Order: sequence, then C-alpha cells, then structure tokens
Amino acid sequence: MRRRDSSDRSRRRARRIVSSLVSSQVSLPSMHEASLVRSLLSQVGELVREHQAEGVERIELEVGPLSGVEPDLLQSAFNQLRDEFQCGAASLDVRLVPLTAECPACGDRFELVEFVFRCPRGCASNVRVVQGEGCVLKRIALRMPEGPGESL
Amino acid sequence: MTTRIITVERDVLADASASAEEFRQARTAAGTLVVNLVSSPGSGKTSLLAAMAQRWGDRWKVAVLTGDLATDRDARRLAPYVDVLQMTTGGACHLEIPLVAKAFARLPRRDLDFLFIENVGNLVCPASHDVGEHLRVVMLSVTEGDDKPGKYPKMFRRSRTLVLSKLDLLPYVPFSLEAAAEDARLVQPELDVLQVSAQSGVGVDAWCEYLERQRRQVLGRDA
Repeated sequence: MRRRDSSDRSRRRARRIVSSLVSSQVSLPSMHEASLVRSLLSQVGELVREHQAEGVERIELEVGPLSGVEPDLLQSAFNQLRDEFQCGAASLDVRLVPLTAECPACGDRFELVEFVFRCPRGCASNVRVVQGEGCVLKRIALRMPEGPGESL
Repeated sequence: MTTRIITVERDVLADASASAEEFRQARTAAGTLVVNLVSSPGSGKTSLLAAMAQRWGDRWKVAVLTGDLATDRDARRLAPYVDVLQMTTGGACHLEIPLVAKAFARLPRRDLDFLFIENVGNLVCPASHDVGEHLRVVMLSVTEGDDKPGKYPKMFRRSRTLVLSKLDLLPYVPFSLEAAAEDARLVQPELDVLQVSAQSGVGVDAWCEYLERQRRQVLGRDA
C-alpha cells in the first residue's frame, strides 16, 4: 500500500527530486567504534608528522559510561585498523573513568550513578557533565629518532 | 631510540565537532533550522515528516536528508511532499557530518527554512555524532516500551525534544506516557515532550508549531 501511494504521488508532484545514493566512505568493519578509531588514528598521524617522530608506541584514551563506546570493540577495531594508519607497533590503553558532574547551583562535584542527572543535594534540576561523556585522547608515546636535544 | 610523551587532552571527535559547528553556523546565517531526527527503526520518523510536510504545504521551504543503510524507500515516501535526498550509508550505523554536508550540497535548493536530517534508525551510534543540527529530536513509539530512555541514556541525554509516537496504538499496548517522559527526564531534565500520531493526525499541528517556535527562538527569525 505504501509503495502504491508513493508512486502515485511521485507522478503527481514531479518537481521534487530524489537523487540516489550518496555513499559514505565506510569500509570494514562498519561499526561505530571503527569510525572513532579512524578519527583517533588520523589525529595520531598528524601528531607523528608534527613531531617528526618515527612511530607511535602507545596511545592513551579515556572513556566513560556515556562515551558511547565499548572498550573491547574499540580495542578490536584498533587492532584491525592500526596497520592502515602506520601505527602497527602501537598499543592502545583505554582507561575507564566514572561519569562525573558538577551542580551549577552549589558547585558540588559528584559521580552520577544510574544516569540520573540531578544534584544529590537536590538543588538543581540539571547538572553539567565534566567527565565520562567523551572519548578523549589523553597522551601518546612517540618513538623519536636519536639526535641532539631529543632525550627526555 | 628515545620515547617522547605528548599530552594531547583532545576529544577524538573534536575535528568532526568543529565541522559540525561550521555547518550549523552557516545554516544559522541562512535562516535554516536544522533538525536531527533520531530513533530506533520503525518508530515513525518518515511518517511524521510526511504528515508534517502535508500540513505545512508550501508554507515553509523544507528539505529532508534521509539516512538509510541500503534502500531509498524513505526518500520515495517523502518525495511527493518535500525535496529529499537519500544518503545510503553502506551499512554504517549512523550519519556523520562529512556525509551530511556532501548531501546538503547536492540539494536542488539550499535557501531553506527547515532542514531535517533523518538519521539511521538506531538508538545507540547516532547519539555520539553531531551532524550540525540546532535541535536533536528523539522519537519513541508506544510499541517500543516506556523503559527505553533509561536503557539508551546517551541518546536521550543529548536530545532536546522527545516525541512519543503512534499514540493511536496506545489502547493496545502497556505503555505509560508519563513513565516514559519521567524516565527520559532523569537523563535530560530539560527535555520537551510531545505526543503524536501520524496516522490519526493527533499532535501533528502541535509538532509543526513547536518547530516554528524553535526556529524563531534559535534563529531569531519570524519569516
């Protein structure tokens, strides 16, 4: 019924346009974590070039309960994609942090449990999340060429 | 060889957020309210857009960018009423700003009053991605169950509006409108809640007026 409807109306209203198929650049593995890992690895690649490093040894990420990522899936997407981004020798450390918020009224900082976004003192109707919502690249360890002034 | 530790402290999606912000600002300047419509599959996004577009007629300049894993079925349903462009994600579970911007650039006219981005049906992945919208609207149909907001906190947290849909089916299912709204407001206390049935037409006028009001507030425009 739906298809009959739409084809009838399509004929009536010809000025509207349906263009087909703008395809995204997604290749395997086509999941959410893979697209995050691609963003991560391209940022890391920029840092490698900026610091004229020879490679990446370790990548440290911070995620929380509202980051929208599953650490195990993140790790497996990383393992599959790191070669493609010249990070074959790198390891990924994913650190889990609690969901932390701040009350705009009393200024208190607290951990949010069970996704109830209210100040435990009951003062504000909404709170500001300060940690555990994003997927944050904290630090990377770069392998540097030997040279003057390069020692830590 | 030596090792150098670099402190970065940057969100992985920071570049995407910057692109989304740029897209949003360009639409603001052009007087276009961008609405990102998210929900699980089959909750009625396309039906609501079709009902809304029929109600509006030629009153506003409207276009829809619709995301779909494999087909152009949604686009074909909407084509009789509005300019619509299909984004086939090739199996990807959500839309991202580069695809949205690319699709927008291919619209036949871009001086719009409203641009709707009908996201891929999924309450998980689209939650993380800013696609340059002013308003994120999450839909929940009464057949899905009133316990869903707490199960998908990120999606409801990052939405501004909750539309409870398929109200005509309410007599047949154990769904409490109050419980759903209350559950959603635990994660997002500032959520606006609307109720609609695209089939019976209940709430469609209120939805249209809500969007017009949002456009006035967000963009500061009347016409």
